[in-house]
Amino acid sequence: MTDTAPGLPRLGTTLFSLTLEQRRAGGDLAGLVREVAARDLGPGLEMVAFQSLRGWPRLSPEQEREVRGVLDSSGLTPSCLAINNDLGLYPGRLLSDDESYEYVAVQLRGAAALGFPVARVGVETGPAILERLLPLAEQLGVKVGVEIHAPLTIEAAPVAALKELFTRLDTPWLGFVPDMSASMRAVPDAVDDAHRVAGIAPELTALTKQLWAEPGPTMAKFPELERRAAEAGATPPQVGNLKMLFTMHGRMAPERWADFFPHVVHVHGKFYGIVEGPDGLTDPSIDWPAVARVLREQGYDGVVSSEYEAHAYSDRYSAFDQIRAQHDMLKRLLEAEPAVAAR
Amino acid sequence: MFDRYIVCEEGFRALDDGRTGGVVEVRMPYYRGLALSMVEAVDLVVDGRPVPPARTSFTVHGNTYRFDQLPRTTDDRWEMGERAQLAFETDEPLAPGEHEVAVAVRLRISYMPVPSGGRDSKRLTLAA
Repeated sequence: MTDTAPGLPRLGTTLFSLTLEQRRAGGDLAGLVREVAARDLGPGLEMVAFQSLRGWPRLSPEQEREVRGVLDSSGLTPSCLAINNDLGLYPGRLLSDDESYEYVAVQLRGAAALGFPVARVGVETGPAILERLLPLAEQLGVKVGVEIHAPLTIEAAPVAALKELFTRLDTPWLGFVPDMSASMRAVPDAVDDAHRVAGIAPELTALTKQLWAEPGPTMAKFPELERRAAEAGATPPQVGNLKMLFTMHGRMAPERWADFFPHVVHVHGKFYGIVEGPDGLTDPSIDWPAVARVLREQGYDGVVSSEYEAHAYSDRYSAFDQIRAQHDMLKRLLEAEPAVAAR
Repeated sequence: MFDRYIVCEEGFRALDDGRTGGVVEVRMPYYRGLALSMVEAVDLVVDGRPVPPARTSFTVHGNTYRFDQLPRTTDDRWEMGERAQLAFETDEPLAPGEHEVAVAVRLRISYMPVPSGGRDSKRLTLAA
């Protein structure tokens, strides 16, 4: 395990990092979890329920025993189960509040049965449903965390509403799951591979990266991106791919994560590639020294789940090796930060 | 994101039930499984000719559906990486050899502002 010193944030892995490995035929959950453990990529283990658990949320008792057995025998510690609230389950309408509550409640019970201490939901699970879920979360001993993923930032209206809710309820059972996609310093280079495959000219990718890096709210840059990309000959699907770079990669200052505390129940260590720099391992697209500083200053001692997502753009790199590199980098950064001031 | 995994290179075959047409195996262009009710369309174009949805059927783990049944199917799921069999009828038998197979998948993912999905096109070989 990549154990950090006591009192520091703990490291871990989400199986989402291994999406391509899970897509491959013949792979099974037990083998994948064993490999994460064998490569010392714990102690925390997270997974996406609708990705890694066939039949979720209606697991048979045998399946449930099997998954628990895999987790218990791995030596890893279940950290978080990512669940979903499929508001668009039925064509032509969204789930009602009652349906939405039930859809999540069943999964919360499932998370508890598998021994996960935190369940991640998306921002589509809003304050009213969260408040209804609170008694169940408390009874089950499962915290519910709302993931703050790009394009959300601290300024977004839904985030402000959540912050108000968590402050008012003052409960450890509801909170945020910061995802580093919201606070990036550059568009990752791995997108170049995906754009090459999609036939997008390198100049278009460069233009998008340049617009992305300019100051100002990302949402306000869409018209200029559309206009300039179209002028440069991009087809509508290609413009869609370029716009995706704006929505998947947020530009919030990493220091702003401090504003989400003390209501942070889990952290997604989203990343797209660690490289060897002049001063050791570094991440060109995420400012991890700044993130580590916030986590130490806030006294966070929960799990940072390594969430490698460049597999969406490229299959050129080993996700296992990338997580190893991120763990080595994070351990060094977290342990180098000065001792936490008492809060 | 996972567009290039949609059309499977293996498993392309002629129908073996007396009808003319074929079967192409397809995968979900998403990072997780979705209930079939959230699969809005799996559009198929073979050698440049669109195949009407009414002449196709969709099979996951042995369960076969017509496309007009999918919107009501909330209790079965197309899992990530799972090969679904997209069977299609044609007027003429498919000739052995190479065929251009294009598939566009539309998914209704609730937190995305626009319909999601993906498209992929591959040259597949039908054995003689």
